[in-house]
Amino acid sequence: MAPRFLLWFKRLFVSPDLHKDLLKYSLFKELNAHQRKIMASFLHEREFKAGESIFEANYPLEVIYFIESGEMELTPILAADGNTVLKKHQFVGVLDLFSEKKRLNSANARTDLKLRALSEKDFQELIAKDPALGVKLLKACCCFLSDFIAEHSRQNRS
Amino acid sequence: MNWTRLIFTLIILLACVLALVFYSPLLIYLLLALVLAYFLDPAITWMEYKKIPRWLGVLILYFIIAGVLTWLIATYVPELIRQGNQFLALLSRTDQSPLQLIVDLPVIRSLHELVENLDHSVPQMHLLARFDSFLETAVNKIGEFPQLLISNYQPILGTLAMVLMVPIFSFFLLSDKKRIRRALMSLVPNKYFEITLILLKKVDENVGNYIRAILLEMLAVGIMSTFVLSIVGVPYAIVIGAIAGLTNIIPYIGPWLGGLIAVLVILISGMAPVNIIWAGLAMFLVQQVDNYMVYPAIIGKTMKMHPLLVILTVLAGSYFGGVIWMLISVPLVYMIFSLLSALQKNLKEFRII
Repeated sequence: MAPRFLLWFKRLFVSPDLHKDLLKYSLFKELNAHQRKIMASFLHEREFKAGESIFEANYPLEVIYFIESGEMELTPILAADGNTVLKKHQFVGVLDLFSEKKRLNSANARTDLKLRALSEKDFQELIAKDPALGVKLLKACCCFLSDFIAEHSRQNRS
Repeated sequence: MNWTRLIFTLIILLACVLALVFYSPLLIYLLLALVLAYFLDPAITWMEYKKIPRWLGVLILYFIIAGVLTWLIATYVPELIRQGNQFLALLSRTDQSPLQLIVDLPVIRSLHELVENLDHSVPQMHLLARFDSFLETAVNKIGEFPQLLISNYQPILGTLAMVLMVPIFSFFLLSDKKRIRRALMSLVPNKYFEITLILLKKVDENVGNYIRAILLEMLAVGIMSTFVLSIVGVPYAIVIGAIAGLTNIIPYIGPWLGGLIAVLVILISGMAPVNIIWAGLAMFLVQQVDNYMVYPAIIGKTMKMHPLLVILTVLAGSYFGGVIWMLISVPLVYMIFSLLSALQKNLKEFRII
C-alpha cells in the first residue's frame, strides 16, 4: 500500500515521459523529458484527408507542421533531399520561418495525413521564455538549414 | 448538400445555445475567474518552465495570496470591528434618539445649521421639516438594513458561495489552460485552423495584457493614494487608497470616486475643512502621476484608443448595463475592433475573401 501511495505521490510531481516520440523529429532530438513535455503542450493534432490542401504558396506563415503519419506533397520542390514528398517525422515551415514569413510552397496531403502543428508565435515564445530550450531548437534549425544548403549545393554542382 | 452534416451542425449549435442559457447565471463568475487566471498566468508559466507542475504553481500562488489577505485581515479587521461596535453602541444608547445621533455627526450638523438658516429666511418652503423628514427616512432605512440581510440571507449566501467558487474555476482554467486551448482548436475545420490560431493568439495577447496592465495600474494608484493620504493625515488612508485603486479602473469617472470618499471621510471625522483641499490636491497629484506616467507606461502600450471614444464607450456601457459594463466596455470594444481588423487582414492573406 505504502509503495503504491509513494508512486502515486511521485507521479503528481514527476509525470512519466509520454513524449519520447518527439525525439524522432530532428528539431526536437536534443530536448530533455521536461522540455518535450512543454513542447507537446503547444502542439495541436490535425488530420487531413488524401488530396486535401494543407496550405498554399504565399499564405502567411503561422504554423510549422510535423508529420506524425502519412505523406505530404510539396510544390515546388523544397525538401532538403530534393524530394517533393515529405514523410513520417519530417516537418515543413522552418525554412519559411526565416524568410518573409510567407509560405514558399504549397502542400497537399498525398495520403491520409496526421500532423502536429506548432504555432510560429508559440515557437518564438518557447525560445524567449526558456533560453536552454531555445538554444537547442535554434541549434537544430541551424543544422537543418545547413543540411538543406549543402544538399542544394551538391545538386547544383552535379 | 450533405444533410447528415447539416443536421449534426444544427444539433451542435442548439446544444451550444442551450448550454449558454443553462450556464448563463454563472457567466459573470466565469468572467471573474478568467480575469484572475489572466493575471496569475505569467507567474504560473514561469514556474512551469522551472519544472513546477501548473496545478502546484496555482496552489503555491493561492497560498501566497491567502497569506497576504490573512495578514491584511488580521491587521485591519479588528480595528474595523472595534469601530463598528462603537457605532452600534452609539446607536443603541437610549438617552438619545437615532435621529439626534445622526444630526450630531459634524457634517450633518453643518448641513442642518445651513438648512435651519435657509428655513428662517424662506419659511414658506418648510425646508427644515423636509430635511428632518429625509433624515428620519434615512435612519429608518439604516435600521431596516439588518432585517433586510436576515430576510435575504439565502440569495446573499448563494452569491457569496459563487464568489468563493471563482478561485476554483480559475484553478482549472490555469492548470488546464493548454488542454482547453487544444480542445477548442480541435473543433476548428482545417481550412480555418491557421487563421483561428492567429485570432486566438490576438485575443489572448490583448485581453491578457490589458487585464494585467489594469491590475498593475490599480495597484500603483492604490499605493500612491495611501501614501499621499497618510502624509495629509486622512484617517483610514489604506482603506481609502484601496478603494481609490479599485475605482480607478473606471476610466475618467473612477478616479474622482476615490477623492470623493477621502473628502467624505474628512467631513465625517470632523477634521478641519482645510484638509479637504490638501486631500483633494493629494489625489489630484496621484491622478496626474497616473495619467502622465503610469497609464502611458503600462496601459498605453497595450491599447490605443482616442480619449473621446473611451468616454463615449464608458457612458454607453453605463447606460447598457451599469458598473460592470462600465468596466468591461472599453477593453471589449478595443478587442472587437482589433479582432475585426486582424480578421480582415488575414482573411485576405489566406484568400478566404
